[in-house]
Amino acid sequence: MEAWWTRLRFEPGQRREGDVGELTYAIERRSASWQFSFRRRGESRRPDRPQPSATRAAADEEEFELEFRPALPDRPVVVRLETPYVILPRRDLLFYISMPLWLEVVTPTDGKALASEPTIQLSNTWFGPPNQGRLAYALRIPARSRHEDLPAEPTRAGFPVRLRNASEQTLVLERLCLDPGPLSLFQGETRIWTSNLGIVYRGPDATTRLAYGTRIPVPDGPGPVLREPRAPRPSRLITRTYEAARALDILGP
Amino acid sequence: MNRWLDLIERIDLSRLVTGLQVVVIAVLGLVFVRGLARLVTRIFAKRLTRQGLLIIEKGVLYAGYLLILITILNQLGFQLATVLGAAGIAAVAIGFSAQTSLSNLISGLFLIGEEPFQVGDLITVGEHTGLVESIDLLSVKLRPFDNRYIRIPNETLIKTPVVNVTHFPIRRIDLSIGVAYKEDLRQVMQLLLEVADRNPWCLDEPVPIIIFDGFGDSALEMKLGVWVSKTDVLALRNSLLVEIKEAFDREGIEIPFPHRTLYTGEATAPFPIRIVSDSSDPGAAPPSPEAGA
Repeated sequence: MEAWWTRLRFEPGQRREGDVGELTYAIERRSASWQFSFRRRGESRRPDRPQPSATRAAADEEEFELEFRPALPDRPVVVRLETPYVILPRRDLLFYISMPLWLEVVTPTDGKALASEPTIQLSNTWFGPPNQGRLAYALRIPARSRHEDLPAEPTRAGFPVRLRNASEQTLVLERLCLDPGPLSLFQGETRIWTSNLGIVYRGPDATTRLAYGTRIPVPDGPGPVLREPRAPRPSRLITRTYEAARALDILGP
Repeated sequence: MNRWLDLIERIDLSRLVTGLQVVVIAVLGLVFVRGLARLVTRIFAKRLTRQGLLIIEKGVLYAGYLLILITILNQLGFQLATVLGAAGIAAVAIGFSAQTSLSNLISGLFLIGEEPFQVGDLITVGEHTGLVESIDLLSVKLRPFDNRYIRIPNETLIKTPVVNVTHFPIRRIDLSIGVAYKEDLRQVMQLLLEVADRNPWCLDEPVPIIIFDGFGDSALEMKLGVWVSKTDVLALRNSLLVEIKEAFDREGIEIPFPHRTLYTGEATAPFPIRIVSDSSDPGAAPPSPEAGA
């Protein structure tokens, strides 16, 4: 796997261009600032889309290095399973989600993000009824039961989720809404991984318990941490289910 | 020196002291009430909506002003019971002479209680559409997109239907689309769904719908209904229309438009038409200027 998360050194006035997945970036070190512009392939000359506008960030006099870092989506994601799964009481289901990554440009000295752009264009979706619910990104690749079936792209991370049906009722699961905020990113041998998530479903009216892991849960080599979580790990979350318990929102109301 | 002493002798010192007390109460009272309103707003800033904060701020201000007025009147020697009695009589008189204002005032209380919209919502009242700037006791202030200032009396808002465009977090946008009678409707519908699917602002769920509207005068008419976050309405509308046109052009799907035939009537001679070249012959010479009628 080719690592695109790297540190770049700029000379005064130097401009660098490159691609990370579908994203093309151009970064220039100006006299007292950094200038960034991003566009996705095939979108640059569309009249209906906003043209890539440059953003600038003030730079220290001695600051000539930037670091590329992968990050997870800044909003919840909705993922479908390949087919609706019937999970009997006291049974587990392990599945893997392909999470698109963001390119974060940070200053190496203090790790502050100067720019953050998705490497893959994601579509918006809504989770829940039209009058209540949440805005999320739709993941087009359904969750798989084998991680080998996920696309091995450097701009995607494997996200292992184990769901236990601890209720007394059969759970028919079609899709989930998940918050990637509390997940870490690790470098594996074959792909980037997120930390794992355990979900204990205890019924439509009961609190669902979540357990966010802190390590790579698959035998993919002990990799270094690429990114700490965006958000702190929640201690307690409320479950909402929609459509007769077919859609599970583990983020709470 | 004698003049100064005469002046001091003429001044009633007790009245001077009362006057000074009134000024001090008014100044300190106003400063205190405004500070208190600001403090209360800051305390509830994270717990309440903008409208809730506005109501609390105004409630504290009006109650504070009333207290200051009562204190000043008391200081000036007015009997509160007498003042309230006079105020009752005045209220009846004002009630007759200011029915509209009172109606607006009461309507404002209903609006605040019912909360059909909040500060920051986009609403349509009659022919006016704009963002709600403030909800006051007598009127609601709107700011339309062209940045004018519209004041709508609360009584009007109670009496007329109000459309709150941004009440729900997502909206459905219906785009009217017409295609020529010769087109394959199933192909057109499939293409429209694909265009919606590729647009990042168009929500995947709720899924877009296509409603066949009927056989129009010059087109097969249909509506494409797509869901969008209330913040992305304009971006979606502009991008989707462009993308639909591009997709139709790419697939050779015709968007018809009404044709108009000009009839010159019996009284005048018909338009002379003269064919000067065969348009299918690419090598044909262009028509000469005198060839036209």
